[in-house]
Amino acid sequence: MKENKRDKTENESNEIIAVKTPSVIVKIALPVFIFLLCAGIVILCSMRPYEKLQTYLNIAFMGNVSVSDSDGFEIKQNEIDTNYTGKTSDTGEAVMPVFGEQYAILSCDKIDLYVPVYWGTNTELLEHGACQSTSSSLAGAENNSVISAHVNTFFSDIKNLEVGDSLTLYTTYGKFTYAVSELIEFENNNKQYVIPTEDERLTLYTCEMQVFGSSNKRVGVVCHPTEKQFYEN
Amino acid sequence: MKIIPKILIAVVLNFCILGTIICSLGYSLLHNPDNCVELISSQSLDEKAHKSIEDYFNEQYNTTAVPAKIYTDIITVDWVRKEMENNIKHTYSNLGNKDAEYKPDYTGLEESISAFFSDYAKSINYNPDEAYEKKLNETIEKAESSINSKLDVFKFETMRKAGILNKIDKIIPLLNAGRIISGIASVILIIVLILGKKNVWGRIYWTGCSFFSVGLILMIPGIFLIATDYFSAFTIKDSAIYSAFTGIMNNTTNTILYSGIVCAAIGIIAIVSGFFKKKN
Repeated sequence: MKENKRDKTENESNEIIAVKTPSVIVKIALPVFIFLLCAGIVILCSMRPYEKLQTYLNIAFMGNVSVSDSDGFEIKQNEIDTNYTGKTSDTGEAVMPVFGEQYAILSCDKIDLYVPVYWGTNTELLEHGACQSTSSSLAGAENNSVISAHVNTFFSDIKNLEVGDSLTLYTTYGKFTYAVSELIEFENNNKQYVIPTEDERLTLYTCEMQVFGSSNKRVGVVCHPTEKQFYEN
Repeated sequence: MKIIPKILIAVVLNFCILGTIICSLGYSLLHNPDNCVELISSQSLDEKAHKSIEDYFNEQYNTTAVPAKIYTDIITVDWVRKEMENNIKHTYSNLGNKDAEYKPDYTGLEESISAFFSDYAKSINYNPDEAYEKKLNETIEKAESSINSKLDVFKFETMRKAGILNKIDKIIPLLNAGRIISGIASVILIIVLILGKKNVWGRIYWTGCSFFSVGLILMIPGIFLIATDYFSAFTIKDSAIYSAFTGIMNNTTNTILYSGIVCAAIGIIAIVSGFFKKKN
């Protein structure tokens, strides 16, 4: 009787094993499934760090990477002198750059900002740095100088600026220091802060950070000049 | 153990192994200056930078009338190599210090330029005055500034001004903690999977799945970057900077690829072992 009971148990467990043994196909498919699942998660999580890394590489090697023609214009990077020790003057003439040319470096110690500024705004230029609107005035000239950049790359920390913080714009023709005078927020169809003004100012703005898609809101700062140094050759 | 928890543990193990490898690689690259120092000789960065300096001063002769040999007799390949190494070691030791700019030893260069100016002034019976001193200082400053930019092939100075080195300094301890924690978690999860109840999958099958997945995640981008010679497509004007940039990127890519190959091999062996499980 004991033997019958043992045989019965063995038969039951053999049946269970026969039902539960995974096929070779399943054993091969599972690692692939795990790989696809993990790879998908890695790709999703790597998108922001990859953009940041590209930004940092652009900043580190700006002035050294030459970029070929694109859409009928050339992205031209210049060596901007941020250690100029020659003679300077309060007055002088701004040098008009061409569309796609790097004409300045925007720097702010408070938020570790140090980005190239290109003359003109389009999708490609925004990948390389901050862009100044061609309908705005050059730094050092009367009127409103308007500079924008992507929030997830170059202007990611602009929201941390406060009134009184200092920014410097090093251009090919001079060095211009500004102080933040106003923190601004506006809808993208509101041109209030990007139109010409009577006073000389620097307006920086970017999109409001959102998890999915882009926002209609713009955030930034308005700055007024504290020092102008035109280079004398 | 049912299959779903096993899959979940395998996925978590996958990220622990990946975290260990990536954090270890990042920590080694950002903490150890030897990676950059080794590139000086393997990519001949010293010779390329010296050539760039020599070409620059040869071009400048037409406007300054100062012969290039006044500079290049002092700024030799050995001098360039020594200053590059010192710059790298100094930078790695002062990542978080925004004001710790490296200043090469220009004593010999300043003496050479001063001697040239002095000899020239004597030859034309010119008495050194304020204008002479101003011109001498300008020439020395401009020479040092130009040489600095050509020596700094890894663009540490630009990175310092942009606050990138400061950010790296903050990341390094996190990478160190990350690799230790991920490593310990990996070991624990492997033990859990191996010592789990005997089952039809084999003891090391699920561990193999994780290693295989990690291997592919590391290998596929590595193969793509190497097969397409991705980094060589960057057109960087200065040849020394180009070599430094591509050298670092290619070395890092190779390390990631080899890690991926090892993990994939371990994974395949462990998975295959599951096909040969002996029945009791």
